[in-house]
Amino acid sequence: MRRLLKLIIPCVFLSGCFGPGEGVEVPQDQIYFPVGLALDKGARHLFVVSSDFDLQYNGGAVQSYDLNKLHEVLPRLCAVDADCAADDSTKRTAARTIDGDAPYCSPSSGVCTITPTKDDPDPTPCQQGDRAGADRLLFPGRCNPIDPVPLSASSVKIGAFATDAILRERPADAAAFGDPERLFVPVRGDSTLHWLDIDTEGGLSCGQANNGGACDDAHRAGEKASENTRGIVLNPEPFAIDANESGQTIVVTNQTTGTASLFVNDWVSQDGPKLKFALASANIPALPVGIAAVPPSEADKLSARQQHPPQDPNDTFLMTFRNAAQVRLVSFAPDALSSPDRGFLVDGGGVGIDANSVGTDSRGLAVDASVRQRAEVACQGDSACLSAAALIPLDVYVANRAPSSLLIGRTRPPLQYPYFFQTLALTTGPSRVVVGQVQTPSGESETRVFVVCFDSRRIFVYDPQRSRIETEILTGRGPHAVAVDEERKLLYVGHFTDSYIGVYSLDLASPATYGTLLGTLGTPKAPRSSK
Amino acid sequence: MLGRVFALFGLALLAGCSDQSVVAALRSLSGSEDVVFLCRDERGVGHPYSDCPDRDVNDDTIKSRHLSVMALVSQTVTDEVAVINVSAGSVVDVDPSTPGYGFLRVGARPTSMAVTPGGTATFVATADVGRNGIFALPTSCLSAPAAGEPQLDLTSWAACRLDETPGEISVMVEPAPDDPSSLADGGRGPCVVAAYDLSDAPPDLLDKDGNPLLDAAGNPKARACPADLRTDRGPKGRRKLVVSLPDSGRLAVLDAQTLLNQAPGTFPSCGIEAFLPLQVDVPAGVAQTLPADLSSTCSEVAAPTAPVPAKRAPQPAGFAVSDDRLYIADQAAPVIHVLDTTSVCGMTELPSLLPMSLREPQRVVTTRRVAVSPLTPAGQRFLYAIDAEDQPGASVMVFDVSPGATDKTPLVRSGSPELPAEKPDRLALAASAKDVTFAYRDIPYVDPATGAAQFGVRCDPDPAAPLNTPAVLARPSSDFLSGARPGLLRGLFGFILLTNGSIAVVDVDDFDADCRRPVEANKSAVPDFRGCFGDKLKGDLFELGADKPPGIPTVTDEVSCRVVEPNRFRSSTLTVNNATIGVHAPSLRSFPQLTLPASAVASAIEDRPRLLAVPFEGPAGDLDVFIGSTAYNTSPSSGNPLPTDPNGQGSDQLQSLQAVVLPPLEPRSYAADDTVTLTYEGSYAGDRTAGFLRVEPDSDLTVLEDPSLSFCDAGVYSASTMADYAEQELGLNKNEAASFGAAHADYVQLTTPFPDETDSYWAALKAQDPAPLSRSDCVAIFGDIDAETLPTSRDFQITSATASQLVLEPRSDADAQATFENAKKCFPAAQQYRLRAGAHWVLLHSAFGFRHDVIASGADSACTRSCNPLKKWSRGRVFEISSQASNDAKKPTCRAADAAGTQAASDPLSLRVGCAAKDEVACVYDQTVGPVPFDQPAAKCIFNGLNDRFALYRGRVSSVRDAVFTWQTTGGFRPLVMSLAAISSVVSPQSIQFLQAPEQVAVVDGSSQGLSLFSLDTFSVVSPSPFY
Repeated sequence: MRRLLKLIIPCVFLSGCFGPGEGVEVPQDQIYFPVGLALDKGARHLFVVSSDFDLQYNGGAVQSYDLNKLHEVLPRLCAVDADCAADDSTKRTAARTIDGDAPYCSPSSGVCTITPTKDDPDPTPCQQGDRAGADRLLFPGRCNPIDPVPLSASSVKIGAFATDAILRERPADAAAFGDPERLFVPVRGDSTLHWLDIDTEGGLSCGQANNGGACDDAHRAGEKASENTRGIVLNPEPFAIDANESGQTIVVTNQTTGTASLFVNDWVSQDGPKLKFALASANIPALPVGIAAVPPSEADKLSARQQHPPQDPNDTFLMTFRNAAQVRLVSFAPDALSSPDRGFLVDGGGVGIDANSVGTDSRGLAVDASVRQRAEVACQGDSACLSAAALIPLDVYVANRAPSSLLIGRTRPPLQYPYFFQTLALTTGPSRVVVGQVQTPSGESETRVFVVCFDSRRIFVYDPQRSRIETEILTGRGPHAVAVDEERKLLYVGHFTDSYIGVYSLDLASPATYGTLLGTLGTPKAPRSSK
Repeated sequence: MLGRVFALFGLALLAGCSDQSVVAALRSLSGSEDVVFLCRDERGVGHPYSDCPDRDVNDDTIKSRHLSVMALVSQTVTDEVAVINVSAGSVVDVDPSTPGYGFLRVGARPTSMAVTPGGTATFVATADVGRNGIFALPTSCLSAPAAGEPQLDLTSWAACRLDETPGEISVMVEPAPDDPSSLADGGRGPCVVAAYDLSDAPPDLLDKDGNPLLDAAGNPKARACPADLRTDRGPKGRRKLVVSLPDSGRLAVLDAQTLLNQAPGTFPSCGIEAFLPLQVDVPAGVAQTLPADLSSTCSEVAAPTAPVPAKRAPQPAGFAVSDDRLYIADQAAPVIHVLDTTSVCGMTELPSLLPMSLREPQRVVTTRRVAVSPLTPAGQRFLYAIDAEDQPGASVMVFDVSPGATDKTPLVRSGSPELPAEKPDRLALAASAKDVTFAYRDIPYVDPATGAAQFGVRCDPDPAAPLNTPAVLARPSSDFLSGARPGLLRGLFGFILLTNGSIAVVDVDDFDADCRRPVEANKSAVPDFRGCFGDKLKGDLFELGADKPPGIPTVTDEVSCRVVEPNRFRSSTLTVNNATIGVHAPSLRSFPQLTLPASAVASAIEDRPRLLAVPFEGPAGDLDVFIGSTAYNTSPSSGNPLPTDPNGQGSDQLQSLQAVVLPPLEPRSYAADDTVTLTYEGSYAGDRTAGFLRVEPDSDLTVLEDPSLSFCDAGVYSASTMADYAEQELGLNKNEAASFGAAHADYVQLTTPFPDETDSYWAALKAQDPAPLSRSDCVAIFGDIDAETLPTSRDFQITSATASQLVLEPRSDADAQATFENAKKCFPAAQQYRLRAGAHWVLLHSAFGFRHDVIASGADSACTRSCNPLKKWSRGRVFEISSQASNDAKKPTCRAADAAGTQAASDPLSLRVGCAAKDEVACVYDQTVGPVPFDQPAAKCIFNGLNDRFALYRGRVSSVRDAVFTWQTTGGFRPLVMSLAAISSVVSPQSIQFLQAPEQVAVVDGSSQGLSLFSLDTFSVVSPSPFY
């Protein structure tokens, strides 16, 4: 591990480590130190950002995987035997079959399997066969890894040290101008924001065709001072990223300079996002590592649309820090009435985290607007109802390390600053928090909060409706990025340390498998120096 | 020589090579959450907790008499229950064969635990998706198995499966009927109530006839971990488990022995004997009862009624048990369930308690944790409940659940007007409340007459009380090392565990409260300035030998009668200033100092305004003021008098110094340390940067708007508000009040800089405006921003105010050019400005800011003075007291400042109060009488605040803007707090409970500290804890 660190540390401080064409070509079919996961609309594809953290290769990569194909090779979850009948529509088989033996639902494991026999007392539900017992010590799960290559829809090379990924759908009013979705990836190696357009088949496009398979300069924003009127480039160490709902306003934190960098994304032209502003202030702590957009209410959107000329609602973001016990609010000022308009960010001040004994070192941050959004849907456009719904607070979650805990808070409408009213003790190393939906056995969607504890190999699943931790998912080493597939009731977990994607069940109808590893996408590889 | 050097070098190297042992504490507990304590003998047999701790060590060789306090701590990370032998001071390793500590493995996510009254078994509720259940841990197996015995694991315990997620769990006792045969099924119906008998033995240990099976040696067969509740000591009756099921809003009742009888290693469905669905019934119109000092006819004080009953399903959370009541917090509905548990099988729900918020009556208040106190000797019982979603942090509500109490709403305490930072119906500190508990603690005093120890003795301060009685023995000693004092917890106290690791102590019923007060008595029913009233004693002092001063106080002689208040935080120190104790009551660090702006520093000292102390009215109105460690008194006849007379000449001090009185009414109202400034025409809302001037098109009025500020919240007094003040507070008639309002209304001072000379704005203005101004014109009219004193042309008086805008008019008549039109030309951008008091002084506390009574009222959000009693002490404006001019030249009553230069030798400088202006309508008196007499109208201008009392006499030279008096106070209120953070700053406290026998408070930390025990004598962690 020390050798690994020796390799890594110099480059952490060396901006521009990534240089296309230098070093060993990154194998784009390999998942390598994954740091970001994203799903497209309908969860048809999973996008994996590999960071090349040990600089073995000359860059990182973004891969796109077909989730329908992945689903076909996972063990099949079940509650009753009927769930295990062959499903022609997806051509899925529950498990291997022997001599036409009908698979049945194993009540102990909650997956479809075949009847045990004397010769095969524990028939495997794994299409890839069982993993060797020795391997299970390091890597969880019963089944052998799934080869990612047949599932790959596309891949492209990016800079080294990517940190995260977000995906946004092209707005309806710009639908005619390009691919339906766009992926944004902050990259520390060359201090840029990579952006990749995504077609309906999961194909990635970032000018790689004429650039040796790597994203071209036009798809690496923040690199050139000429792309904005302020003559600025992206500060070193871009880290966390989030965008507003439409994907037009993007804010990236710079984890060593205490800045929040603003990108404005253009869906109409082919220019993509451009760096516009870097907010720095003596009031902003130096190490921002978490950011989350605060969704505007429908009432705000309505009000903004009714202005002359119609405006966008104010985009605001919350930021958390490693070195300060506070959550800070920054707002986007579009500067639309100026000529030229030079959008900027405004520091809206911060609120202290006093729900914990120390409260510093806040890593992940998530804002959940689902309660308000449900109320807004029920309003059916009634403005008075929407105004009332706008006063429903948003839930705010922070993964805090001092002490290791999940902070639970709410905004105070009409103010967007949160207050934290509860803290749940966790194990070592909470690093991310993600809000997702799961389906109950009755088919209803319910919110769950997934708190990833990198160091202790756990993901805590918090049920906000019942105010309790529902379960803990024991993962492999270095869980980091996660993505929730509500459609298939699955959780994808990027295992940073061993470079694979774990697929975990989130099917509440199958309690025996809830939170267990169903499949491993990619062959786990321990870091080179730790072998 | 060289050899010696080498030798030394070698030695040094050797020293560097010597082994240094590094001791790293192995932390075995992780994710600790809940704890139960039980008492166990060396055989592994449980005992009632009251048997512990084992105080007789002489019989410890007999295993059955060697008792140990055991703590079981749930481990949510490892899904275990940790075992701690508290008596031995060690964590118990139940699996010594494996490296590290081994604990009792139970199902995933242990959520709650409960132990039987006799300590025979502990039940653990576990909650994992699809694997909810209850595990029974017999006390007989709380240690490592003996050689040859199987290891303890998940299959060692009797357990059962629940169909839904359990919440809290409690063991309750179903009283056995005297005659079970009179009951249907002999008391063995669906919910068994019959007394334990042979049929309650584990079925796998009985033959088909119900007789015990025998082993090869002929002895009755026994389980590896036996647990027979037939032998569980404590109250008679069947042990029942009451389990909350939050998802369905019900309680489930299980028979504890039936669960224990399950075959270990199996996980059958729990045999639930009864369900009790909980109700959410919030009657409409229920209102909180307000104390007398908050009762008001003020229209702005909304009736504090419960929110409209919402259709919320119950979601039971924390339990609190007392006698025959079970209180259950509800984290979804605004109720605290109250159950009659006289019969566990026949539990019934009584009318719920109704959490609500006085300040936010529309908020649906839910609760997570509750605690109920034991009955006090006075027959009172309280319930504390955590309002988990209060802002800015979780707070605690107090309910009176005394026998016969009918109020279901949170208690609203009296004295709230004196504590403006406090919510009247909440206990709150800087961090969120996590858990609560009560401690009833009595330290008996031995009756010298009978030799018998007496419990529940209340300290009796009456000097006439017979000596040598226990109540008299409870009085404080002169050195405060014994008897009544803050460090002695005798009575009922609440403990609030905060998320920052602190544990705050709350006075509920302090037996020594009557002896914690000043020696001065107040027999009147009306509280005096010390908060004392209704004292029943012969003399006027709580002193022995009061007729032969100095007497011996029978009380602590603290400054106020409110140092101990029921259901308020306890002070960590005596509120006393004296040589023995030090400075612990509010006191001044030094005399107030006057600082003048540069333009006025040349004035003679005797011409300047004076800030002077004012005693309270009445014969006993004089009081001490500590300045540093020296006591001064407002009485002129005292040895160290404070200056009170503006013309006093008794000493240099009386002629030259300033002074204020620190009212002792409510010690909690003082910040621990504070800096106070009193500024003439002071700015009270900071430097604002987002003001916009515009002319209302309809009315032609000029207004200032600032989207970043509510002018009402800032405390603006417009001319009309000031007139209202003059009428209501100073007793002026309408005309006088209007005149006063016009003279003293606040004003806006523009501090905006001009655009730079090179700015294109000036050229554009010149080209576009028919009457343009140049930058130099602007400087001539409004003065440059870097001028030492900004001209008055930048001042605009506030004629009326709403939350969003101020209506302004130029304040200076002298400069005709100082118009809004010109202001807008000279200051084209957003205005920088200050809000300033007009011709009066502004009092600012660094700890509290600017206290004011302005609220936004009506449809237009006009800024008006509040009538809310909670704003009673919200005062921050001070008016100078001046002296009326005399018509008799031979008997001058004041002298104008301009006469100072002609001061004659015969002028004794005895008339230092400045003259009132001709049109002055208030705060005027004849200074030749001395200080302002209390019976004169000008006495209304004495500033009588919560933390400051003084009179401000005008100087012979007019006061100038930004002249400032400054003083600092210390000795404010510091709550009594124990702190887990004293051991480690990174803590995540989870739960707290009081251990009656060792009189300690146990705190479970989910982060790193495991289980810590706090002493109620030293208020610190007791060794060998923390156990981790």
